Amino acid sequence: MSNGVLSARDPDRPESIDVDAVVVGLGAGGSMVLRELARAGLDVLGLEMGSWYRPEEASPNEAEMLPRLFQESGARATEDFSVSILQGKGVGGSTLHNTNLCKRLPNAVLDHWADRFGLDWATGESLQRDFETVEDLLNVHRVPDHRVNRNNSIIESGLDELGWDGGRLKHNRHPEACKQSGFCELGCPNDGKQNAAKVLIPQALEAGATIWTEARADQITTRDGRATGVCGTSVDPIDGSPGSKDRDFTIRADVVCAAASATGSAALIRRSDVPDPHRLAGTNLHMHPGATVVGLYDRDVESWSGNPQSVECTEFLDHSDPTSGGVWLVAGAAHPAGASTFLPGFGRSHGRMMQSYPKIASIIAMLHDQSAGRVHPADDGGLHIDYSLHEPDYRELARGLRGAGRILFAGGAREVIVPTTPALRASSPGDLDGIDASDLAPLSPALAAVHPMSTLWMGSDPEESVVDPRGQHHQVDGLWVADGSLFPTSFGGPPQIPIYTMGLRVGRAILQEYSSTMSANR
Amino acid sequence: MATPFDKWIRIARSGADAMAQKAQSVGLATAGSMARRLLGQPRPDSGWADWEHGVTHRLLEVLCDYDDALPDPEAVHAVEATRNFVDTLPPRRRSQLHDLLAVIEAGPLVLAPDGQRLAFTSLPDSAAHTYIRGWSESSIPQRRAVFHALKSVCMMGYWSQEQTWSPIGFDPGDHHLDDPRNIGDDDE
Ligand SMILES: Cc1cc2nc3c(=O)[nH]c(=O)nc-3n(C[C@H](O)[C@H](O)[C@H](O)COP(=O)(O)OP(=O)(O)OC[C@H]3O[C@@H](n4cnc5c(N)ncnc54)[C@H](O)[C@@H]3O)c2cc1C
Ligand code: SF4
Repeated sequence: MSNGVLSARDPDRPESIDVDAVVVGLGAGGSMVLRELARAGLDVLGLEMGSWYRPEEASPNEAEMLPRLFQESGARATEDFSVSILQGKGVGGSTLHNTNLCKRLPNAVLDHWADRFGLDWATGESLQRDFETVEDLLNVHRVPDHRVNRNNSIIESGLDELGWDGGRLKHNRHPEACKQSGFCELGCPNDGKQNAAKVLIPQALEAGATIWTEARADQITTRDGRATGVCGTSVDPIDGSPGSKDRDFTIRADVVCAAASATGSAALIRRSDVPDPHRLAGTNLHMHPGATVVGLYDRDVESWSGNPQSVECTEFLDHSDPTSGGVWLVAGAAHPAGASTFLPGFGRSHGRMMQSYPKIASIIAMLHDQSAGRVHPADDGGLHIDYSLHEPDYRELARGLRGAGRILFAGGAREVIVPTTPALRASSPGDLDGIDASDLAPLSPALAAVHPMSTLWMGSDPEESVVDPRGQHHQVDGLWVADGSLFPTSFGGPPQIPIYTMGLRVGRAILQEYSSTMSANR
Repeated sequence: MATPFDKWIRIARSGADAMAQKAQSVGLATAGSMARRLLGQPRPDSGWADWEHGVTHRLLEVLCDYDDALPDPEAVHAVEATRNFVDTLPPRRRSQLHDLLAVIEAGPLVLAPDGQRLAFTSLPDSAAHTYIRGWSESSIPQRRAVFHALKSVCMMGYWSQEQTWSPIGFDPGDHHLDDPRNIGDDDE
């Protein structure tokens, strides 16, 4: 491992240490905060429950990589199993296995956050400058033509044919290091991602940060309304639980930053009995749940090959009404085990669909969800998630499924499969017209979500938000949040750039607050 | 004007969803122990009981009853791969999977598919297919959930085996450094 990185399972690891700041979770938000604080000269420790991933260890085998890179081996789900929730672990968090799409927050969403939640900065120039800083740092650029794979070209030509809104996206892959292997969701074998692990963590370590891997934070400690540190334990990096040889640790710190994702931070803060007079922490969970619609083609598509996602359809997103929701459509590539799960049924008919695997293109219809769920800490140090869709979101989902099917037909599909129960096998666009909200229910279709957010959201009113507009907890000084939890609402787009940017801003706010507290104490 | 946001704040304050959550998780654990009682099988102290291995084996036979062009689950050691995958899950999730196996094994004793009141692993092929189809296409979401969860882990066991890839035309290429499919650098 690199200098400054220690496994918490190491027998020589100290039981307790004192630092200026501790950051829990090293994904998009946490890595950025770690970098900011280390570069400003703070003695900062990052705790990460997963391990240190090296590109040379990558394998194209899903059963090997999911346990290493995903929370609960990719089997995390809502309590009723109706939504699978894919989230990462390891130094780099979900940016290790994400598909690198980059987009700023829509202006209409930012306007709503300013009006409704008192986030004055949301409409200011400084936020746009921060987006730019992050985009430069991570080498964000438009996906060029020669990196659009066939699944995405089908979507692009379908959109053209229909005259629908959408188009090419930006990404943060390295123009040379990315070899187009298409394995992004299993961790890049070529170090082609300009992600938290490759860009931010080395800079943080270089500046003097320390990282403990396989270190799960279980409790934030507080005294007289101030954060005082974190307690936790070393854990098995695969199943995330402590074994007989694992040991507890205590970190004393002036600043605690929860960046363990919208599920992990919410569970940690709730478990820590941090004051929550309005019982808000962990509620308001949004996650852009989505269902995959498949098109069968007469020619090879080989959707697994090349950049998995590079084109979006925004025809069904209308941000002008902040309560209307909508649905965002992007390519839904998967490797064989993943694809076999979203292809409906079992036995002979399922086998025939799998034999068409090279000839399928797919689209995920992802909800800009207005429904809200809740994260609860579990007794074993893990968490439970409750979430169910309400009727307006089912209506939007139905619209998205129909729209996805139409794009696939416009791109040349001979058949489209919609994963309702029973599955709809459409042989013409007209067959899709009948799909409506009444066909949809939990597990019809099964949903998957990759963007949990909003559980510890920002706002100026402590009765209606968990943290203040800078990211500091309303009730506990020195406790900050810097991950997807911060967004007051969902927004129907890729969240990593907004989360990295929040990490930058929260890091800066911590430094400001820290230096004024220090000078007041002198 | 009240927004959906205000509505959920009210719900959250009432704590109603916390109760629903509790009922749901107790539901699966209770169903699992009832199923084990029906089967006369204790919960294994740790790891896998032989009968659980048998249920996984039978499930894979039914789910992957593909035509001859695709390999048999037995030939690709899909049961072992499924077990290995389940063993990577956190203890609570693992225990849910074991509960689901008990539920699926005991289900026919109550549901009697094609009139046969036998444990799942004792059902003849056609009744076993009818039975699993009953879960996958049920109008009851909880039953579809059982199918979905078990299908996901079994598919992981089967389709992660490299021998299943070439029969469906999947070729991961040499996906490591210097993959020959590098088709040029970005010029932006
Ligand atoms: C398959 C997939 C594809 C995606 N594709 C895109 C995309 O193309 N574009 C995009 O913008 N977004 C994408 N995302 C989402 C994006 O990656 C995430 O939204 C983002 O990384 C979340 O950042 P975060 O800081 O909130 O949390 P994460 O990046 O998830 O980091 C949280 C970290 O905290 C750690 N942690 C949790 N609990 C604890 C604890 N108690 N103690 C210590 N450590 C803990 C976790 O192990 C994890 O490493 C994708 C996600 C997935 C799953
Ligand atoms: S396409 Fe392959 S090389 Fe490029 S970022 Fe994804 S995994 Fe890495």
